[in-house]
Amino acid sequence: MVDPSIDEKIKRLSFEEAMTELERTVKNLEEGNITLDQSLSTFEYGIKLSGYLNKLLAEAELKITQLVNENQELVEKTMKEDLDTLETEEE
Amino acid sequence: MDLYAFNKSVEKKGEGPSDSNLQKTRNIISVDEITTRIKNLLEKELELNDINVRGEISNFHHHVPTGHMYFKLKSKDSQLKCVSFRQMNRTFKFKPQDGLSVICSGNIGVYAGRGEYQLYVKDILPDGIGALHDELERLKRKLRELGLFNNEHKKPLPAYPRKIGVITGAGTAAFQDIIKTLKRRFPLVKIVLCSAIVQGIYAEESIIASLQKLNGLDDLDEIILARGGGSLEDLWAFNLEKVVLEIFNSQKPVITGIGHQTDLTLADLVSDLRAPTPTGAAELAVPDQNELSDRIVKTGKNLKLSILNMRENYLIKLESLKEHMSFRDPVRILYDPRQKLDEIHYRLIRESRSLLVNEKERLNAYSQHRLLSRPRDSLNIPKHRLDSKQFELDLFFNQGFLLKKDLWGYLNQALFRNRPHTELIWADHRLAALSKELIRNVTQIINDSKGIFKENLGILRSLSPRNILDRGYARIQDANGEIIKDAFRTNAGDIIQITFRRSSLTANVKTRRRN
Repeated sequence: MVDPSIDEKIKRLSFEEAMTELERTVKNLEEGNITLDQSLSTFEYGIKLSGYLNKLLAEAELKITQLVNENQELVEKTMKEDLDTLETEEE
Repeated sequence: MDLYAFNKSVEKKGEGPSDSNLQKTRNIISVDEITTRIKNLLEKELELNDINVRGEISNFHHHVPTGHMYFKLKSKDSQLKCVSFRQMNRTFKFKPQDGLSVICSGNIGVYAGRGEYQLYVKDILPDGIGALHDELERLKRKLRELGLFNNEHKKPLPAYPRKIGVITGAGTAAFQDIIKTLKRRFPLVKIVLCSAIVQGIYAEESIIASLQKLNGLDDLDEIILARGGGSLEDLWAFNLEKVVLEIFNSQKPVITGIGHQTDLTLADLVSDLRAPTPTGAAELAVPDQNELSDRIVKTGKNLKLSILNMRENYLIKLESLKEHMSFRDPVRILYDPRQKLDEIHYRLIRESRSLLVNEKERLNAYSQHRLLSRPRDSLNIPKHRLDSKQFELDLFFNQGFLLKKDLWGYLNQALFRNRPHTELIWADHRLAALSKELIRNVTQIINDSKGIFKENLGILRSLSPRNILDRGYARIQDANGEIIKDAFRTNAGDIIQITFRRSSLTANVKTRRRN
């Protein structure tokens, strides 16, 4: 039985957390110290994790922010991803 | 030469060395005039224009508000004041520093306000490539001795960074390379660009400020500090002590990618990870998404493989157990325990029944005793106790049946679950132990019941009317045999029967009184 909220939990994981979870899951299964019932839900969890990770990678877009100093305060300005627009003035 | 001629002409005019004569005869000029003349002389002298002067820098001062630089050039026995205005020093390839051997090019001029002649420096170059190298080696030695390059100071880099700060020249090829590489390898990462001046006299402050800014971002995982290739002077900012110290003090891990393959700056030595180029730094900063994808796919395959393996193992186990069953007669293993169980059960029933029958008979015998006819009430309690004991006993060996049934069920189940022989032996031992315990328990209960029965007999005896008569009391009955408990239930003249322990008498009631 897989908890229906498991998808929600996975969605909240960062890439690193999901990757760590996936590796742990495989290790659990490989060591085989779990019951047959547990192994099925563990397996399903692992498959979901790997799907989520692939999705993250496939949908990722590079986000660039520029740090400028305005009135001594740090301001992050999001830039367009297009490399040609990344021209900035030099002092 | 003009000045000399001028002085000679003044001396010729003089008649005698007196103050008044001096005032009259000599031309007296102001400081301004003489300074102006000297200034003109020096600055018109072509040999003092566009000269290159070799020396070692000392007393270097960069006046930040105006951007002008002041220093001295020293050689063995003399020194030369130097000034470089902002308009000139903006294009310096590196920031001058004390102790550096340089060649300064410019003009000699006079600063009238201080009456000083000085070199107005238009450009400054290291005195041969050796000069910068010597300085680099000196600082490298010093910082190495301080332990700044030691591995124990290298901070670990996150495996999957979420946010990376990039310090490099805005719009430079290095920056483009880094962005392209990060996009190609790991587009999940967020980039915070902090452009900096990476060469020239303002590079030091700019790089330090950028490092400080990025260290102020809490969610930043690491920093890339990069610059494209260039000469030693171009890269000089990355060899400055303050820059090196700032990298050393950075809370965030710093990856450097400065210059080309062969360039190794002090910034590279002190950084947490050094890449040969800006692209290399970006590659080291993030994992490769293609490799990650492969790994994720492979991990998914491993998952499937593991679960199939697990299933396979269970099947094999099941098969082997089935085979194990087929050439064994498991029922035989149960023969002995079965017989033993029957025996025990038989003995249990026989002994408990006969015991109970005996006790019941004895109890009946007592309850039918004529002396018990009256105080029957007091007998109810022990009798009730005895009944409940009997009930417990019945229950107990009913449970014995159930227990036996359970054990049978357990053993059969165990067999069907294909337990190996050893477990059956174990079950046998367990059964024997349980049987022993059963007998012990029953015996205990029987013994307990005997004790309770004896106790009750004692109570019965103490309540027996005979005992009361033994103590000298007598029983008085009326003519109908009813016990007389109240004198006023009789009338004068009635006949009453008085019974003692071993004798009795008949009497008439004479008078009645209240006590």
